[in-house]
Amino acid sequence: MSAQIVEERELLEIEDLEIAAKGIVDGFLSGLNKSTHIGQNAEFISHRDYVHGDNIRHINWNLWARTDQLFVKEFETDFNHCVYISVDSSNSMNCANAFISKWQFACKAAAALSYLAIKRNDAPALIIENDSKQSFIEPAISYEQFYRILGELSAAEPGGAKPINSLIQKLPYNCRNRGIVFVISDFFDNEDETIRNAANLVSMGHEVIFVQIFDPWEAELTEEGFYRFHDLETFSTRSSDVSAIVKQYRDVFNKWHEGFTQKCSNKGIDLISLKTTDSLADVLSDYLDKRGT
Amino acid sequence: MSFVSPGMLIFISAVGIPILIHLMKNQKFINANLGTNRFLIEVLRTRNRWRKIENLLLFLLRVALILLLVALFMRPFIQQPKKVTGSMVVMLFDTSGSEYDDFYKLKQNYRKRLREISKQLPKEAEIKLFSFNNKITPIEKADIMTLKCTGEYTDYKSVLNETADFIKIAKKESASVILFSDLQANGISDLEEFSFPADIPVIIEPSSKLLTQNLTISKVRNLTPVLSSKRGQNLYNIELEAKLNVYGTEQPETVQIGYNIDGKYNTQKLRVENGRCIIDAKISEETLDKRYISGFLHIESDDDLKVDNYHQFILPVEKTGSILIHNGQVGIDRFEDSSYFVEKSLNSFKRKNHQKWQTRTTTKLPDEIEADLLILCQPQNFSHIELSAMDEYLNSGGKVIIFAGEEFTIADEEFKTHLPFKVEKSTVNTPTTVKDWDKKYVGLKLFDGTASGDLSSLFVFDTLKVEEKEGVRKLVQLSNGSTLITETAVGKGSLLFIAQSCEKTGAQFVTQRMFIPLLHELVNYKLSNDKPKLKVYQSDLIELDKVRLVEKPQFNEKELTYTVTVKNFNELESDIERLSPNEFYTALGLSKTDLKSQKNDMELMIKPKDTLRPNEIWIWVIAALALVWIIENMVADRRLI
Repeated sequence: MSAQIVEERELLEIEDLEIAAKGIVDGFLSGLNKSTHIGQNAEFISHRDYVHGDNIRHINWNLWARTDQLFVKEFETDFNHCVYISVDSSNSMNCANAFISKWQFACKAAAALSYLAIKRNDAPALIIENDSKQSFIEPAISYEQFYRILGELSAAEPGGAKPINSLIQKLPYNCRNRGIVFVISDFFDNEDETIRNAANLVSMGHEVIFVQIFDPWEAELTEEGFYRFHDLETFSTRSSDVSAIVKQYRDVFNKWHEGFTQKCSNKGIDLISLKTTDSLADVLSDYLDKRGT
Repeated sequence: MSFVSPGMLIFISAVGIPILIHLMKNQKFINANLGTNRFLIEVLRTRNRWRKIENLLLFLLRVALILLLVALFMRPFIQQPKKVTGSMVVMLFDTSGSEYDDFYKLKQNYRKRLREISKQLPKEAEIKLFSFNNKITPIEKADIMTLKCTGEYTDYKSVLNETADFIKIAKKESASVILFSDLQANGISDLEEFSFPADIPVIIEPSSKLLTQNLTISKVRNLTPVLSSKRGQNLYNIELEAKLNVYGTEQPETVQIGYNIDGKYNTQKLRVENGRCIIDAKISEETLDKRYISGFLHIESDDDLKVDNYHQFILPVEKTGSILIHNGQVGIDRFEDSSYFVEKSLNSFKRKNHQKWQTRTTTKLPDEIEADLLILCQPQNFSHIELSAMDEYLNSGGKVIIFAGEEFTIADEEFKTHLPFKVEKSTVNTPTTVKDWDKKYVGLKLFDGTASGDLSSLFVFDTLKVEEKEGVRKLVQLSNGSTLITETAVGKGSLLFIAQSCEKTGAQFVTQRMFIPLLHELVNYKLSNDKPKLKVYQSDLIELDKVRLVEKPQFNEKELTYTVTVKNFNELESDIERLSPNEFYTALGLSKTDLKSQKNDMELMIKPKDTLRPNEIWIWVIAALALVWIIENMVADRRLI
């Protein structure tokens, strides 16, 4: 299945995470206009004098024949990154005013990241936590790992009102190896606490990327109509004539979002904000940027 | 504040429309989920409070618009309080039993009104105070607060007559009476009828409990004589419209009403419609003479409603008049007097159409004739003084009817020269009947064209011939070509000449059955208030003090109307109040010359209430709608900003 003939939106609508993730990643990679071939992980950098104890396999015999001296080839070794993907599974992720819910969008993002990581010889890991369930899949580089992650995502169901802070707070215990930490959530909790906890990860040497997912109505509401809005976590309701408040609502939301972005930036955290109608390409490309590929 | 069209109040139910819209609008909400309501709460915290106020204001505005429209169509007006004038003002304070509750407050009100009226009056005016129940008791100003409620019943007639006597003795040029009362137990709902005695202006100021009785006689209708008698008196059919005010329970559909009028107790089971029921009753001539009825009313319904009320109410007397009958031919006994049949005919049916005529008979005209109508029966010999008195009477607007038969030819020549036309014996003296009559003659509408009830059945002979000249109008013409009745203007007055004798002999004119209706119609014609009407045209709202005459009144001989164009007057839209001719001319700004040039009295004039006219209402309606439209748009615009 080619991403050229299948729109990403259609891929997002596919329930099967594997097909969706592979489709998204393949489409993304073909869009980069680069060879998808993955070659040697080692690249020659320079020569140095042979010292005792060096592996004789790394001696450049051709250079010895010309110069009669022993030189050893030096290579840049390819580092295997750990990609920690933590997904918020609180009840607010169930919000679905577009064609898919925030949870489904988050799962597809996590699956696509896992698949891309494995294709890049990185080791994806998955952390999901809510009121009823806590699961952690250790990082590993294999296609089985990809399927483990898919299985875990498929089995998980969002519920409860556990704040994302508590998940981020525990991440340093799970992310023992330095790597890239993706936190996929709506971040509608106490943002100061969230960022403070995430800053701990940054200080540990992790690259922290917040993937913030909104339902389109959360960001912009609708244009008009009389609505009774239910908060999925607190179950509170508010009724209003939307046309009377929509502009003010957007102002308040944008102000909050700008503040959150600024705070993340100050702490060295990347923030990618996406609506459930947006493309996942930003997430994937940010991953590749962080990986230095 | 009162309303011209209180019936429009029914449209107040339209207030339900905005209420319904308001309620329905609040109920239509679509459910939607959000990950968090935190932003919504932040917005609504400030927005919703204003939004609620805004909605409430809008709702109130819509309701107010409906109320305003209803109020406008009800045409509110403020009744200007009647001004108290005169060199003497008599204030009567009701201390009867019905005023017992809150009498102290009432006394305070009495004192307050006394102060206000004192300020209005000129310094030289005299104020006399009386307390009353069934009689009046003089009091001083300082005594008002020490008045005590006597617990006696009220007799307004007696009180007002006593007051009238007092004013007469005081010999004041002008006086007015202010009556402070709750009008309890009298059944008078139309206060304008409360003008007893008629020559004293009475202003009624209601105390706090005006007309609170449960049953009132609000109207007396269809007063028709019954040709039967009780103890030698004629009986009259009357319809009494009783208004039933029931508090604290539902209006009964039928009521058993017992009433005691003329000392006889009657009962009727009546249907109540819109709180009113009609009592068919009979009253005697004697009661009618009193011009008011006392009655005891008892109501009992199936719903255990029992009401007892004692009522007095005044009969509406439409027309009054004093008639002086001059007897020109005195017979051996009363029966042979020429005036006998005329007087008897008037008295026997004197209250036909509810008229009140007071007749006097004389054989000698007084020096100064004080009567609304003078009837000369067989006039023969008059002294110079009598003739000059008659001249003066006619010139000052008096009305005279002359019955003159063949004997008139032997009347003294001086009298004949006083007539504005010549009268001689008719050359055609064959018995004849009436051939034609002037259809514009008001009284002839009585005759319906049937043989038995037609003027043509009247049989006459030996009539006199009246000179045909300008100003002599034929009213009834005989088959033989001669004229039976003519009308001529003399000075400001008018003369109705009947060319037939009113004595028993001759054609027995006066004993024929058509004579009585004819005489009644003639008298009615002369005394009637149905004078030529003024046609008045209107262009805008009138203010009485600013009214001005656009052109002088023109008399139309054909239509018998005066046409006056008055700026700012609409007969249909205005509440007409009759003014005297003088007041009318003053209002129109006419000079006395103009007044003299008119042939008849005119009495139609207006006194508009301070009320909104339909054309003004629409301005307000449009203004109100525009206001609502602007406010609605302002609110709508702000939503989009």
